[in-house]
This record gives sequence, C-alpha cells and structure tokens, in this order.
Amino acid sequence: MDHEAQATSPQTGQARNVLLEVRGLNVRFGGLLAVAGLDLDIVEGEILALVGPNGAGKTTVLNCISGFVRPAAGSIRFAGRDLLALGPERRAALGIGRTFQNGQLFASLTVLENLLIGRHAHLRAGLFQGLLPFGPAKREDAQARQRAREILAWLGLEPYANRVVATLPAGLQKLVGVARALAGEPRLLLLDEPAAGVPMREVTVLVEHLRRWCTDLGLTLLLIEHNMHVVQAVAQRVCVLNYGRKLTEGEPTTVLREPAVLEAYLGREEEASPLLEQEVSDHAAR
Amino acid sequence: MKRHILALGNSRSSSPASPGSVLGAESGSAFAAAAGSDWRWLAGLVLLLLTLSGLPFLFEALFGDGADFQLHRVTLILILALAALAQNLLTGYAAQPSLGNAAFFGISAYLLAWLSSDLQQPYWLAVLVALVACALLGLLVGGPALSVSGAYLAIATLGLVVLTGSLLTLWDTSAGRQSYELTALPEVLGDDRSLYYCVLAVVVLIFVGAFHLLRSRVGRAWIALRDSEVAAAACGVALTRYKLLAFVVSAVLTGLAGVLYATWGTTATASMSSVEQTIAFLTMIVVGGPGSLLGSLLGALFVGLVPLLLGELPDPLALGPLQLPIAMLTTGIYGVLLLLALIFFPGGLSAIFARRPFVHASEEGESYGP
Ligand SMILES: Nc1ncnc2c1ncn2[C@@H]1O[C@H](COP(=O)(O)OP(=O)(O)O)[C@@H](O)[C@H]1O
Ligand SMILES: [Mg+2]
Repeated sequence: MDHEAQATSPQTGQARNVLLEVRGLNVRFGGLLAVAGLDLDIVEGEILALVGPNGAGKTTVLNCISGFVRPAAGSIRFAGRDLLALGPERRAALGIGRTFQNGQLFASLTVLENLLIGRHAHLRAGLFQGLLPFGPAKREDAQARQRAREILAWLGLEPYANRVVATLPAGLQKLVGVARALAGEPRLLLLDEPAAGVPMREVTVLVEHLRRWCTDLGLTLLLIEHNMHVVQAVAQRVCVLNYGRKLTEGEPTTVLREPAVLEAYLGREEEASPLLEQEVSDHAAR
Repeated sequence: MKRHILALGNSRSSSPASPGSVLGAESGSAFAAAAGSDWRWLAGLVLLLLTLSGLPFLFEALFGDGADFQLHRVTLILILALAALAQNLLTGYAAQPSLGNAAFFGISAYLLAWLSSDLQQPYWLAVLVALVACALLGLLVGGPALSVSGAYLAIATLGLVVLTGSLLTLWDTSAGRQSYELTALPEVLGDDRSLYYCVLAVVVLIFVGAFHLLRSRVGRAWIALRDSEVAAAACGVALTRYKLLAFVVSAVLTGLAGVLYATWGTTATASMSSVEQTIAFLTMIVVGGPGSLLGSLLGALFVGLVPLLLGELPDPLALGPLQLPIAMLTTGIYGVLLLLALIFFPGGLSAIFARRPFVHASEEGESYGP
C-alpha cells in the first residue's frame, strides 16, 4: 500500500513540515490528570490517529487544540503560532476545523445552512449589510452556497441539502458534521470518532474520503478512532494514549501489536481486546 | 475536484433498495411541498399588507364615527409587534433568556418626553437620541449581563427592569406628576389615521429588514449559538460578540417600540418598565412562537387583544367579596397562558402555520419560516 510508504517519510525526515506542535500538555479536571505531559507533532499532509481506551483523554486533547479546554501546562503551536492565547473562534479562523463525538449539529437548520455557518469565518457581512435584500452580503452568500453545494455533492449529500438536520438518520448526521467542518476549508481537521455509529458499508467509503482529502485538498488530519480497521486503513501514524499519557507512537501495524498497547485495551475494555488482537493479526497476515 | 471522488451517494445509488435512494426521493417531495408553501406564504403576506393598508377605509365602513378609535387600537398592536420582534431576536433566535427589554421600553419613552416636552427639542431628534441612548445602554449593560448565563442572566436583567421602574417613578414623584405627558408631538402623529400609517410603514420596514438579517451571516450565527454554542465557536462564530449584538439590536428595537408607545398614548409611564410589562413581552413570543417572525405578529395580536376584551368588563371586577383590578387580571391571564403554551405548544401559535414546529424548509434551503 502506497500510503504506508509515505508514512515512513516523516521519520526519515524528508520535507518534515510540522503543522501542529504540542509540548508538555497537562490537563486537570479537579483531582484528575486527564492529560499528562503529552508531546505530539503533526506533520503537514499526514493522517495521525489518536487511539486509546475510553477515558484515556483523547477528546480532551482535541478540545485543547480547538480551544475549548485550557491546559494547566504546556504549549500548542499551529503553523508557528502560539494557540493558547486564542479563543476557539480565532483558532477556527486560522484553519483548525473539527467535528464532535456527539455531533453538535445545528439541528433546526438545513444541511446547507449548517455548511454556511461552517464557512462563517470566510464571510464578512455584518449587521447593516445583512438587513438589505441586495448588496455584498447577498453576493458573498451566493458564493458560499455554491461552495457548500460543491462539498455536499462531493460527499454525496446533495439530495439532503434542504433537509432539516434533525430529520436525518444518525449516520448521515455524522457525515453532515464532517461536511460542515470541511466547509470552513481548514488546514487541520480534527475528527472525533467519525466512524462511530456509521454502518460498516459506509465506513469503507468514509475511509476512502479521508485519504482523498489529504491528497486532494492538502488537508492534515488528526483522527480519534476506535475502529482498528479504519485506523489501519487510513492512518500513517498512530499515537496511543492511556490514562492521559502517551503509551507509544509509530506505524499502525507495529504499534498496535505492542504488548503495552494490547494490555491497555485488555486491562480496561474486556471486549475490545480480542477484537484488537484479531484485527492486528489479520493485518499482519495480509 | 468532483471528478475523481467516490461519493457516498454513488455507492448508495448503485444498490436499488438502499436507504439512500428512498431518502432521496422523500427529500425530493419535501422540496416540492416547500416550494408550494413558499408560494402560499407570499400570497398570505400580500393579502395581509393589502388588508392593513386598507384598514382605515374598512373601519370607516364598519364603525362609522368609531373608526378612528378602533384604528388606534390596531396601531397599538403594531407597536407591540416591534417589541415582540425585539424580544424574539434576543430570546427566540439568539437564545439569550434576557428579561431586561422593559427597561429600554421605559427609558426611551421618558427620554423622548423629557427632550421633546421639557427641553423643547425637535421630536425626531429626541427619537434619535432615545434610540442611540438605548444602544449605548444596551452595550454597557449587555457586556456584564451576558457574562452570566441562563437563569442568572434572567434574574440580573429583571433586576434592571425593577431598578429602572423605580428610578422613573422617583423622577415622576420628585417632579410632582403622575406620568410624563408628551406635549409637543408633530402634527402628523397627532392624527389617528396618519399615526397608523406611519407606524405601519415603520413596522413593515423593520420586519422586512429582520427577515433578511435572519437569513444573513449574522442571523445564522445567532441561530447557531442557539442550537449549539460549542459548534458555533468551532465554526468561527465569536460568541460574546454576537450575543452582545443581539442584545443591542433588541434594546434599540424595544426603544423604538417605547417611543412609538409613548407617542401613541401621548404619555410615558413608569409602568412601561415593570415586571408586568416584561411578562407581556414574554407572553408575546412564547404564545406567538419563539424563533418565528410570524409568531411575533401573532403574539402581539394576542397580547393586544386580551386587554381590549377585558376592557369591556367593569374595573375593578367584583368577584363576590373580591375586588379584582383588571390590570392584575390581565397579567394573571398572561401568566396562565405562558405556562400552558410552554407545556403544550412549545412552537407557539405560529407552529400551526408551519409544517413543522419551529422550522420549515424552503426552496432556498432556509429552515425558518417567515
Ligand atoms: N469537562 C470535564 N470535566 C471533568 N472531567 C472531564 C471533562 N472532560 C473529560 N473529563 C474526564 O477526563 C478523562 C478523559 O476524558 P476524554 O478526553 O473524554 O476521554 P476519551 O475521549 O479518550 O474517551 C475522563 O476521565 C473524563 O471523565
Ligand atoms: Mg472521546
């Protein structure tokens, strides 16, 4: 598989352009140390999977990057800029997009309108322009609609463009969340369990999409994922978290077979571990 | 970009019995229905505008000499519609449970009375100053008020109303008057019929503006922070900025309703900034329909009609040994309706007209009806 060949290139140091740099990240919730001294580099154009048992702190790491959780210590730099002083909306404008584990869609709006809000940072119209039935606000809106429709067509969501999101099945809603994040044309896209709750047949299609975005759009992906098939199929690197600490990091095939990783899943998720072992040995056999 | 993408939709349509194609067909029919309902909305709107423009003549035929008196009552409903719209933008769209609008309602009326009657400034200048004052005050109060959320915001802003009400009363008593009379109105606003047309023009203009605003970047941002604040922030919406904007816009619109109300009654009273007034504003949007422009109109119609109907009763109403003031009865009725609407009709009266409560999809991909 050619993407595995690419995966080694960050390690060999060719054109290693670090887009996101996390150093010594610590997050506390009361007495709980949810993230402990995490270092993480994401190279421009790569797909990095963040895995680990439930409660390992994966979502918290994402929240720190997108600005919803303030870390107790550490630094996060994006394209050379310090992020910690900025609020979530400023980080979005800089090119960090994300989806949420629980959707967080604008449920009373249509799919298309969800995407238009996803493009909020690209638009300029304010109060007075918005009051008018003509003018620059309507023009930029027409362009944004056009762009949103392209993204919907691209994801096969066009038939649902004018459907109110609350009326869509859960699997489609998940995809709308991804489309909304893509509508903002981010440089770094953070996906929190995009395949959870999506039917298996569509997961393979999703995997196809994820790879294409990175090659076609020059997108960098940080992906939290429980489904090891997805991780092995798309990720060039995997970072394993356990109790907020980085257990290990590296190529999916080798990392997911490490005893410490298996034990992390074994110790905390009884039913997940046989599946993981199965998947890992499946992959090794191929 | 589209060329080499293996889209989800394609994979679905390759299997004929897939759920995707079924959903696709369904959404197609919803599309057609929405386009049809758009046409009906437009027809209804034109009919409403024609009726309102011809109302003075209709009333003359119906009521004869009483026509101007009846028209005066309709003018009040139009003014209330502005106040309802103001509360709806803030609470029904931007989801800020602020109860402070009655403060701006009273303040703008008193500023108008003071500037035009006592300081003898031109009426239009006084209106302008009152509106700018509301905007500045909204900015000043909105900042700290919006840093707390939910119930705390409601309590803090209700405190503002009570404070304003007592200050206005204090002003009245120290000046030795019952209420503040407007003595220097422009001639055009003294006549019932021309006042009606002026207010109608203002209301139509503002509702059309609001219609477009709600479909613009600003309106979408308000609705986004109603549906999910975190997602709105992740999409780049500056939460504090847009909440404050909603607060200020709402304050100015309420201020406009306040000056028109004072003009309509040729007086400003401290009861304009009271808990009762706040309940009336709330009843308008909850009964009419939160997050709906049509709901603001229906709510105003409703809240305007209840006192009219009760006005036919003797005041105070004798219920056995109980002497019940009508004003108290009115507020009581609002309270009961508020409760009933919240429990049984969360979409309000406007939901009866929409295909779905709160939302209706149109051809343009807009999910919120007029
Ligand atoms: N806002 C919060 N307040 C308190 N504790 C939290 C909060 N968010 C997460 N946690 C705790 O931090 C730990 C890590 O959570 P999370 O990052 O959601 O894990 P994961 O996404 O890996 O399943 C969990 O123990 C969780 O209960
Ligand atoms: Mg999580």
